[in-house]
Amino acid sequence: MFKIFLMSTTESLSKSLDLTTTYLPIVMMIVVALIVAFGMLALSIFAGPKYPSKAKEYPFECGWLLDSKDTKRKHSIKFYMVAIMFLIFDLEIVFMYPWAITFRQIGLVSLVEMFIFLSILVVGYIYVWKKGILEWD
Amino acid sequence: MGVYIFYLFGTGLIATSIVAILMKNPVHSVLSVVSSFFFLAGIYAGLSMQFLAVIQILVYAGAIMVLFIFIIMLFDLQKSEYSKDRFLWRDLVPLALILITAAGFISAISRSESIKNYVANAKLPSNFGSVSAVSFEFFGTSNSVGRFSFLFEVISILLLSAIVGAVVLAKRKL
Amino acid sequence: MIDNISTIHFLKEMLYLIPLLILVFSSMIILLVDVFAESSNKRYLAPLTSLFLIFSAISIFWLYKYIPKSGVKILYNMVYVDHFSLVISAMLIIAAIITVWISSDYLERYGIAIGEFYSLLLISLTGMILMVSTTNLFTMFVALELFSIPIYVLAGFFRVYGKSIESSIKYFISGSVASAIMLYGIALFYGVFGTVEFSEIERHIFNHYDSVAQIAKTEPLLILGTLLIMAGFLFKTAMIPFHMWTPDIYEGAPTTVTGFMGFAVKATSFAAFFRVVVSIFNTPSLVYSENGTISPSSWINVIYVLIIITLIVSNLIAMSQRNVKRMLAYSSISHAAYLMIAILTFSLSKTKDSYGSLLFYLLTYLFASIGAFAVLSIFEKNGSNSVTLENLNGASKRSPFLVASMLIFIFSMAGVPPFGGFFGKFYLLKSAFVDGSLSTLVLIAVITSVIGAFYYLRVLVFMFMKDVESDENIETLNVPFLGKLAIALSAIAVVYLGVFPNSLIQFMGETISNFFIK
Repeated sequence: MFKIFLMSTTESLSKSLDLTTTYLPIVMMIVVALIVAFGMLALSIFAGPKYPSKAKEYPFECGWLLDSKDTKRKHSIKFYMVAIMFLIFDLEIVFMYPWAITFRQIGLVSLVEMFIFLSILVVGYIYVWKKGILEWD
Repeated sequence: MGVYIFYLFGTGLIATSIVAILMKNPVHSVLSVVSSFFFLAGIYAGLSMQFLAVIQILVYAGAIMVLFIFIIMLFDLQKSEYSKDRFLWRDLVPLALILITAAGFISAISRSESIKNYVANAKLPSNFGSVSAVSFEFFGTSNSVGRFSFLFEVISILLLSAIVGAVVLAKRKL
Repeated sequence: MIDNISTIHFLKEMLYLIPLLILVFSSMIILLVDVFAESSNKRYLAPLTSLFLIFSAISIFWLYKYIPKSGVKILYNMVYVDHFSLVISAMLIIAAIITVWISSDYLERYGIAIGEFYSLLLISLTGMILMVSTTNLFTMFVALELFSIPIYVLAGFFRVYGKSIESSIKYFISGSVASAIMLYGIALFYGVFGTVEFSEIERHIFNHYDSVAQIAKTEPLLILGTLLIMAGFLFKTAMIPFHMWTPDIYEGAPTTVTGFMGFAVKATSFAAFFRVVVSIFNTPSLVYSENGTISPSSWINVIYVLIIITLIVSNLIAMSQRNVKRMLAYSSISHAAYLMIAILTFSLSKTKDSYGSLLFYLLTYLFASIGAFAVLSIFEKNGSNSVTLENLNGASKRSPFLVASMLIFIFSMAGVPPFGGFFGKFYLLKSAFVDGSLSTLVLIAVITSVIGAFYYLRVLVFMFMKDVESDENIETLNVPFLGKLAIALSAIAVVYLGVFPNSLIQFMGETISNFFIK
């Protein structure tokens, strides 16, 4: 029973999968990115000059006293509001991305569709603006 | 070749998900979830669902996990506030239920005729799952309207209500 | 396969969506008016909203004349408008109008009379109307989210009260899980058939399978999908054992919102479930075994058992509630069981009567339920956001009008003869009894409704009999004009439905569209 399940998954995979040609550039990009990122770190660890001093080992912190007993800081809800607004407007990318890629083939109607979509969201944007969510006071 | 990559990503997905549950530090859990999203995106890509793979990384790993990390940062949990749950025997009840459900699903999938048919003669269109294929479903071609263009507009209203809802629930002074 | 639709044709088809378009535009207009208008002008928001709602209702009446009996499938079969969807939409709009009228004063008392309330209400209503006018699982899911998310927010609208926020979060989390479960079921159907269109799924099931046993053997994913979709709907309609969220959320939410969701969410989910049942679930091979009897593992038996459990348990728990809002929450659960009986009756017998009795029951429930919550919203003590039985002490001295209306609503819900609710129950149980196979269910329903009368009447006992100990509490409540209008109209409607039920139930039966009789 389980064998059939595995078989069905793997077979459908191998049929639709042509990793070596399609995704080679992406794999290469990921590899290069990893090499660069870790390479930089490694270089700075092994090759960088090190002059340790007491002031440098002291953790850098701006505004707060380190030995303050009250470690439970209160954060403003404004952070959350900004984050959630970012998230919602970021979701538009789900639709903008395919739209932009095929724009030459899908013609004028799609332009109008996207216009309607965005104008509904602009209503939300105006609302957020007038409510003062974007202000930081 | 493809199968092995599937196993690779699948193992990574399961491992990172388990790590996400077991970690005491919430930040570590979230980072583990982020890496599990990348593995999931890899599986999507392997199933030639490129659009989903991209969205998985752009939206989930990019935006939603940012919000997760953000909120954990806002809570600013101290070590003493981490969950101190010990293992309890009654925890096995949900685990058993999940395992039974999973077994049921696996047996259902393995007996399913439609999946067998699909495996026997699957012929996917050449651009299956690509970004442009998704785009044509939404936006149509130059002389017709896309099938899902109506739902596409409906979703904008859904987003609008989410904006209003977030403001109503969280803004200090309305 | 559906042919491509040209742009002009697409625009023409949007004509059938006019009620929806009005609602969407008005929700945006109200949002903008709210942020740009002077705060002194905000009291005009409620009349403005009800004006838009009335426009939308008028367009529904116009569409009702315009569309054929077979309904119209538009926008690549994404939307299906027929008489059934229009009747339910009209009920939902009436519910929204009543809610707006009561809320305008209620919100002002709590100091948050803001336009977002009306805007979210309208968006939610849009989703509900879309949900009842579709025969496509994708649209159904999007519509489900579209009406749920504003309702989650509205439940937490009293942000300063912990209970309100609690109810919002509870509703959001449990509702999202239910949506996810339903989406899983939809995904399984799509995986098996490659389509989400009701009629095509039905055709596939009809052509390929003979009996439940065969489906369980060759395509068990179908059974799983049926169960998962059903679980999602049972959650939304708050059938036991998917009811856990109901009392807390009904109690914590602002009372007018409770009234709205008590009817509208329920009616929408039932209407959509009705369509799914009639079209997909009711395919003979999903119901019957090979020898033509109802298969023991069919979904019908699941619903049958759940109805019995719901009827008994909800009425018993409701008796022990001191909080009237929680009590009405359990009463709404028991009403869900009645509506489920109607769905079961129709799927077994397919008569016009059982169809009409479902709609008639919804109509009586609309006025009685929203009316009762409206009265409670006025009796509510400021700052508590909940009403206990003790709060109602000596109510008959404080406002005879409210108590008289409450009497009508409570009698209607309890099923006392001269009011609408009685005839709703009567026709519903009659058509279930005529079918024959459901007579046990009818018996249990009658017995439990007698039990139910006990806790309904207890509210009246507290209102009439008990006196307030100290005299200072006795002050006449002044009922605002719009609220008074809404309550009076609901009470009149309940009485009218009780006195002249025949013409309306006949009309309801006539609205049956070709979707239901094939």
